Amino acid sequence: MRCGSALLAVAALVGCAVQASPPGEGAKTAMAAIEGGRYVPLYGDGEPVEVASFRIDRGLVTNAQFFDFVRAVPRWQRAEEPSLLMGEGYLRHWAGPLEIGSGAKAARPDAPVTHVSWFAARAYCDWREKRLPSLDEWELVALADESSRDATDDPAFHQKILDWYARPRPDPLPPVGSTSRNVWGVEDLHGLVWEWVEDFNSVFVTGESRADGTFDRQLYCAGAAATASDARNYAAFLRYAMRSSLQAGYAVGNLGFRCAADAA
Amino acid sequence: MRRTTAAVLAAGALLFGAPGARGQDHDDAQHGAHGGHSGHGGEETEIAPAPLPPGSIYQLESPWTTSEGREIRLGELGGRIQVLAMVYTHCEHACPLIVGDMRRIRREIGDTEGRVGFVLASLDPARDDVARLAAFAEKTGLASGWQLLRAPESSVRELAAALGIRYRRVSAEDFLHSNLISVLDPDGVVVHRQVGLGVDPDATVSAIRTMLDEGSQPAPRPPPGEMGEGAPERDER
Repeated sequence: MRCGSALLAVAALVGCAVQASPPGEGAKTAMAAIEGGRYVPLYGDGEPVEVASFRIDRGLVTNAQFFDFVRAVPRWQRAEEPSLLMGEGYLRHWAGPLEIGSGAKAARPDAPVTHVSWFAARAYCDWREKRLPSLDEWELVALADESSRDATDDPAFHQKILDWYARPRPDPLPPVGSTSRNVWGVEDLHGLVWEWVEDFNSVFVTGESRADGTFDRQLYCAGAAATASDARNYAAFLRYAMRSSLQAGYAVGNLGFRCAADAA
Repeated sequence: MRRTTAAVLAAGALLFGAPGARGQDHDDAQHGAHGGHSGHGGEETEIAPAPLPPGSIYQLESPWTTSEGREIRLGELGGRIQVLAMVYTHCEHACPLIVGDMRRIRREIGDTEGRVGFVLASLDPARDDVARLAAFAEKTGLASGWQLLRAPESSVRELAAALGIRYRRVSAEDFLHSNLISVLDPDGVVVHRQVGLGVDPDATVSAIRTMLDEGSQPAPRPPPGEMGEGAPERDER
């Protein structure tokens, strides 16, 4: 019951497309140093996972930054035909392959780039001599709120996240840095767009596991119901459900990314 | 429980739009490309390799290493049909079954004079080094027609993502992974997927036979209608 209605809310988040606009500088490239630690992922057997120290972009990659990338590396410009690497919808919110666009409905240069595939997000980070964060890295840094590195015991923190999940996505998207900044100095982890992670495809849909039997049941309704009192798991559940529905070529309007790197 | 799984899938569909007939689009594009190519009459233009179709996994450029220690790009698998799975050699349960399923496919298509290759790509770069792959091939009796490949983690993740394979290391020893055998045409486009273990290989075999009957040449590729009928085209879930 609970699962169903929340997923509908997720669905409502999506679907609208952002329109285009002019290039500009929106670039905060600075990275935050994140001290490694342990966290208990939603999936798995309840054992904490060790995450090594790493660095992560404070801000999401913007349209302007991604524009610089496709100008420098033309093979990642939008093409006539969708492909394995750049699926249907790739950069469709831009006015053209080399034009973000202008006008009230246009994408803002300083807004997070969306409509990017996992392949393209990876190629961008590689171009910046970085990489995508791992799922565990992302979840670790996303545990923090404004004042605490681990806000998992604060119901208000989770309520805020769930409230965001339930709100329709603004169109066009607002600039990066406009929603939240946690104690690490990392912005917009909750509140602007969903984010690609390197191992998004480490999350399974239960239907797929039929042949193998047992795993990951706790991820779906059984798990969500068992822990329905725990809003923390509920927010994480929605993120995992979202990731489990992705394919690497997908380029959709509410999914962006930021880059990470090993600890300096 | 069931209902929620359906809801998750529905949410995914709404989120990302109905998948639609992407494979078909690719085929149109690809025919266009080939038409343009031959239309030039092939005179003095240097013989540039025909561009890869938009759906080709041979667009992935990361280097892999064979069990003979040779470095290759996935594109070098091109020019023949390939039957490909991702496994790890320490796997005790699913992977031997996948290899068994591939052998069964091989048996059923019979001798193709090398027009069909079989590829195992390792999910486990930490333990499947070249020597381990070679030993596994030897022990398992995978000789001519088989290739075993390994690559760094990032390339493994990339190939899995391209094929729609999900996997996760769950312990020092084991991975959870999709049980999926992909059939690639000579251009590297996935034309058929066999999902699960111990599956009746008829659909897979007929997808391969169809390509063999049509000449199995890199170009022109078979029209969309010939792709493994009834097979999930782009999403095994």
